[in-house]
Amino acid sequence: MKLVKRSSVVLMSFILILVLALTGCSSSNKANQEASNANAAKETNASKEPATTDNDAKKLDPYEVVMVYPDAPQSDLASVQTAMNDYLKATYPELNMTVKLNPIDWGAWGDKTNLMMASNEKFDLFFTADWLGYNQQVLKGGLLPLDDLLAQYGPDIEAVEKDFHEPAKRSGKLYGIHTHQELGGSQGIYLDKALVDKYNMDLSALKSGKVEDLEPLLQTIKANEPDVTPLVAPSFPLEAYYSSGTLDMISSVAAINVLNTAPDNFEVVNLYETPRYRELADLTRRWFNAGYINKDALTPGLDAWKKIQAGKAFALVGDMDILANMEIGSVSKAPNASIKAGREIIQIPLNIDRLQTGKMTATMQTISKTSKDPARAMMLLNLFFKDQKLLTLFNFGIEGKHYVLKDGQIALPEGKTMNDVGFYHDIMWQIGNQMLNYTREGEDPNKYQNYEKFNEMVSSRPARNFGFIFDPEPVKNEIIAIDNANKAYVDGLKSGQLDPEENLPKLLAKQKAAGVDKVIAEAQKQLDAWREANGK
Amino acid sequence: MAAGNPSIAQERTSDIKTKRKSVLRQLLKHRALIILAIPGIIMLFINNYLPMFGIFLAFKDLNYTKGVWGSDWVGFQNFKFLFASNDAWMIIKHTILYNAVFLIINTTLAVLLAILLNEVRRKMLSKFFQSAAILPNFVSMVIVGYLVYGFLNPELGFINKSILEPMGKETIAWYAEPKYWPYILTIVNTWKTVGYSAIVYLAAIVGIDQEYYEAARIDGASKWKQMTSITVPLITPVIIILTLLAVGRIFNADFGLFYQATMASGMLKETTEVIDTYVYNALLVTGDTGLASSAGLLQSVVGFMLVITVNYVVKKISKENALF
Amino acid sequence: MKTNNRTNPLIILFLTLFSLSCLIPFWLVFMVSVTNEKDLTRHGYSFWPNHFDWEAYRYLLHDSANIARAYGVTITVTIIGVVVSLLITSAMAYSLSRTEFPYRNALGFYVFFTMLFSGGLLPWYLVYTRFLHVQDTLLALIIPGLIGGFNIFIIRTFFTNSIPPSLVESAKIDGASEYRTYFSIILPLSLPVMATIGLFTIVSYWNDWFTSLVFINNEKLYSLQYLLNKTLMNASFLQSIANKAYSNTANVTQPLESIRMAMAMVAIGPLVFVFPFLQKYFIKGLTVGAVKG
Repeated sequence: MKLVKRSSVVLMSFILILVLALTGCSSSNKANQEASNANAAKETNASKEPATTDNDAKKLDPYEVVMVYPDAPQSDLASVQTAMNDYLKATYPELNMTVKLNPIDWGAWGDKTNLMMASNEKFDLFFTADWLGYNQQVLKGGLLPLDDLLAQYGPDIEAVEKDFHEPAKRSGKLYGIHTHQELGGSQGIYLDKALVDKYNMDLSALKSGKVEDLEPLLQTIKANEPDVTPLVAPSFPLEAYYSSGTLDMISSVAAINVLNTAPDNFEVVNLYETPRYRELADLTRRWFNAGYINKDALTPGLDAWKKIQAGKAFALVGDMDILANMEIGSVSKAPNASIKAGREIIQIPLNIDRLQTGKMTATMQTISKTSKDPARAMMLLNLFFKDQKLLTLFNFGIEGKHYVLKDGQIALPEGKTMNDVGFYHDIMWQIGNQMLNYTREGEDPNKYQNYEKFNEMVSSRPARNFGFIFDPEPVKNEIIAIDNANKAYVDGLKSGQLDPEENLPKLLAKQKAAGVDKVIAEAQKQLDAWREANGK
Repeated sequence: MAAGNPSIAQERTSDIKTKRKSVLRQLLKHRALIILAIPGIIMLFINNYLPMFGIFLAFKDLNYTKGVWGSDWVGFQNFKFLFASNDAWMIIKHTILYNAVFLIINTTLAVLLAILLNEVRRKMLSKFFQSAAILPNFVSMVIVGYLVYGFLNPELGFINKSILEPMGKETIAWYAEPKYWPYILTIVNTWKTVGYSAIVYLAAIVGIDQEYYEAARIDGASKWKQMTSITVPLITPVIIILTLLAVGRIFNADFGLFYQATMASGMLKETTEVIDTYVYNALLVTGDTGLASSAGLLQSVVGFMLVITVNYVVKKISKENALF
Repeated sequence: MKTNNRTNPLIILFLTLFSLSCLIPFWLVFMVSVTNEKDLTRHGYSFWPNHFDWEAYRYLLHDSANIARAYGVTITVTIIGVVVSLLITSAMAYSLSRTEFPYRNALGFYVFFTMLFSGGLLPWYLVYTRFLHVQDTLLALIIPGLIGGFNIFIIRTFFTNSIPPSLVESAKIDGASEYRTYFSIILPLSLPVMATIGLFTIVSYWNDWFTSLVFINNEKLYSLQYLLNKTLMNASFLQSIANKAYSNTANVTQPLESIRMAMAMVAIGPLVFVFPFLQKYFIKGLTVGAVKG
């Protein structure tokens, strides 16, 4: 009694053998070839390097540096690329390089870049971040270590970033260069100025930096404006406001509680177990029940700003615009927010970030293992840290065609909109020294000076574990299970839809069952080892 | 005759020779059929069999520099995450139960629908009904998610705003209450797929020889009797095929349905988490594609074993309708 | 006995209700696509908006050159793909349906195995880019969809059960080769199933965006669905990483809901006109009996 006929089995085996033979030959050959090509390239470069430093007259071979970065398609990309190449030829002829811009849509980014890396496609500069798979990319051998290249070809990078490389190192080697930009953010409240004025609201209580003090204001709105949501979400107190104000983050569940603990306390805890978490969860629940928070806050894609625009919201917890002289509790006009909302918005910071490890890996440039001339790629990256003209070409396009300068700020040419000018994007934060860029019309012209000042504030207060990187591999499966356990509760708790009294214990129990203790223990172990090694 | 050995050996070799000859003869005899099948064989080879070496990735720790062949073997490590969660069995249970319910409901309704559609005499009307029936299948799940949201939005959704509120009842936080979703998802899935299946059954019904019905009518059989004795039995082969194919995929959930239609709301997990959504989340959290490979392989193997079993049973009942 | 040429009104009622349940959501999609965005924020979806606003379509139209080109790509790919696919699929299904074919079961298994087991995205991608080198060509959009086990089995089942063996027998006796039997007898009688599978294949090619995502870098070769869905996918991707991402990335403006719905309309639209064409093959009455004798 054969379940499957013998001929089927014979056929299948024949096929499998054929498949193995075919693919085994071609891909291993290809892989070997690629590997040997890459090695050859590295060798020839290695032999070239001393030559160029010794003898300036010796020319570099022409090379095309391929830049891969996430962006919406720009119809005029080709002309900008040509302009960049002309500029490079005219200004840095000795580098003998051209640029090929290869932007990839956000929606396709994950799949496409994974495939590119896995199939050993050739490209050079590559944007990545910890939230875009940086760790896996390093682990799977897709990126090049940059320490030597940086030392030799990245003087302008080092001039601004040299203190901030630690977080991007993996196994002692550096794989990514952080964009020079603001070192952190600030969380606080945005308020609709018209409503604040209408009810003559007293905002001084918010100097405490505690979001609880918003309550009387919400109450006023709830009582008098039936059509307006007092606190519109998404963006909840239990998100960035909580984590930045209370914790030094280690992983998605492990952190150091810095609220009301001694500066030399390095105890790793479950961030869902801190007293502050419970406080804020109760607070959000109370506000939800009182009708202060909108019920559809958890809808994916919901844009709270649209509600503000439509005049249906009063307050929003969010990331503040970085202004000069930011202080907790200070009330100021929020220029960017006002543009987004189409009405006057004021902002009150409640918390200012400390310098966190994770922030340093939030926007990085890396070099792919498949690059045939990594030195050249690093040289190009270095240019983005010193050459404003190059940055302007990449970020804003060609003067006259894609932008005009008005009082030293970027503006759209007469009669054009962002949709039809041919080249318009906001990706300054992806590469180089962001501070060298022009600002846009409508932005604070001192934006980047503000950033520098703000950076001083942030870098003077580093997180206790700044520089420590947690390796999740030993507890990977537990992390997946914990994340799975979180899903059923976290969103509901942070939006006030679930009662913490009943559900927080359930969440903690589920996490325990998923192995959270193991993760915390592992994090503590790694943290202690790091402390020893670094004398902290 | 004790000296049997040599002659047996002789018989054996000549047996083998005739066997080889008869295989060749077979191939030649049916060369037309083989040639007709060759384009298909080649296409399947290129598109499906060549990539199959990737199944090994489930057992490897893929390293880009080492390539698919050079990467290290890690045994069943990639599979562990599937069972790390306490909810592993709940997730598997959901996947199978939902698929089983979908299969039963959709098949029944689709056959019914096909029979009814067949009864419509006026051509224009028939065309209209058929077009309407297939339309839901062509909409992507993302849009379906928005449509469901249009009905179930806790603040502005149709049901809360235009039905429950006017009636004075309490609005329901649809995306926070897991208990309604098995029904909601079943309705959505049926809405989307029943027309598609019905058309396939309809094509089969249309092919039934009218003479059977003539004879039945002359014998005085009622519509119902005609349906149960002629129509359903004669389209049973199609029902069997579609069911067999569905059984093979019983371990695979429709990701779009469980992820997009629920707006990926975590609070509904209790009743809507399936293998595919769990794997997707694991992928988001770790970025490790080896996990997806291992889960896919597991789903394939389970489905495969189920189909072999069911196919065997089908073979016993009606040989030519089995898949193989 | 009087033949009844009127359909049972209950049946008509039921089918009407059913059709309405299928169509009403589309009506909603269309209505949302022409609703003013502010109204959507204030009042949600409604079946008849307060203010009509064609902004969404205007927005899509300003990209009309790209959309027109994408239509061209998709139509070309669909037509070629469907024709070739039907030929290959039905030819193989025919071989599978002939009971005297000794390799029938082995071949059936060969086909079925592909429906359950897959090597995964990366190897599939490697085959098409490293082995066949079809990236950035139309072939990359056509070849992957040419054959599928589901279609093969449906057509095979139809051949086995709806074509009377007596017909094939008599053709054989008349000395017809397998090819002739296939082309002149089987195919013409299989119009219902060919139309069905043809329709499914059309829809499958029409809705495909994944091959464009993976294989195509040249914008001139994007399929219609990929072009339309790009904005949606960009937005949903950014949404899924919103908590972890650098806060500025979330500043990318979300497409208006009306635009998402308009995209859906533009994508499905043409298909609605294809159905009536194929429907004449479903009409009751097209039977084998007419050919008999």
